Amino acid sequence: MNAKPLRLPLDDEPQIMTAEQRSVWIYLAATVLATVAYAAIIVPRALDNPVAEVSWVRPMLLAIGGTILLTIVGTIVWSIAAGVRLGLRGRDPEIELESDVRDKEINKRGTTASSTLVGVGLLGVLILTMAGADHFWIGQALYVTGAAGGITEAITKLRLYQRGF
Amino acid sequence: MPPKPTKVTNNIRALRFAAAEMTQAELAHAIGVTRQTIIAIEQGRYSPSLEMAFEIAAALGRPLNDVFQYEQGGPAD
Repeated sequence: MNAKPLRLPLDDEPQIMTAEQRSVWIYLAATVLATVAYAAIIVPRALDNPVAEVSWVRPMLLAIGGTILLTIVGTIVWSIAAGVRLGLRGRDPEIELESDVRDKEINKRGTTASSTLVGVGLLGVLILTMAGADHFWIGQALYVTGAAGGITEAITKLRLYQRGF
Repeated sequence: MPPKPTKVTNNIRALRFAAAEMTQAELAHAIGVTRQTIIAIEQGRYSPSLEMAFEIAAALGRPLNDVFQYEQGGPAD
């Protein structure tokens, strides 16, 4: 007697993240890592010296470049690993990994969630510039705005992936 | 006051069994989305567009009302 299985075996396998969800995780990790490293360098310098004398351009460029590099390398490595994992299970990577309309909706909602924060941050930068603040503060305000906006966007997206909408 | 938000529920998982045990991957392929999206719809974590809902119903060979239900006053996002 050929009784039909109660559950579909292929559907019970662990769910693998889509390419978009994976890249959000990598971007979040890279941004947090770079920001913490940058702060660990800049904050002690700013506490020990007048801000006008603090060397911040090179660390900031390294932090921004590091974020981009980590995101690219992390995405490539994780994508290869996910593809290999699916291949070993005999599954079609296209059905598991490609982006679709849900990813696009989540992307849009994430961008919207961070836009207010970024707008306020840029307004702060504008006010600092108008007030003739030191370049140090203008640079830090811009960096913090970018990092906070990126982190907010990433967390919003990950919550949407997990909890739904 | 505006009406309370509503929630769309579905019977996709049960209907896949009825449709020759169609897998999530097969349904995903039929309507051009990822398996993760099918999982999210089945679990009520994502409400598909009207167009996608019709595509899912067509892939399962059922009318839309058999696949999706509209719960007035259900839990909102």
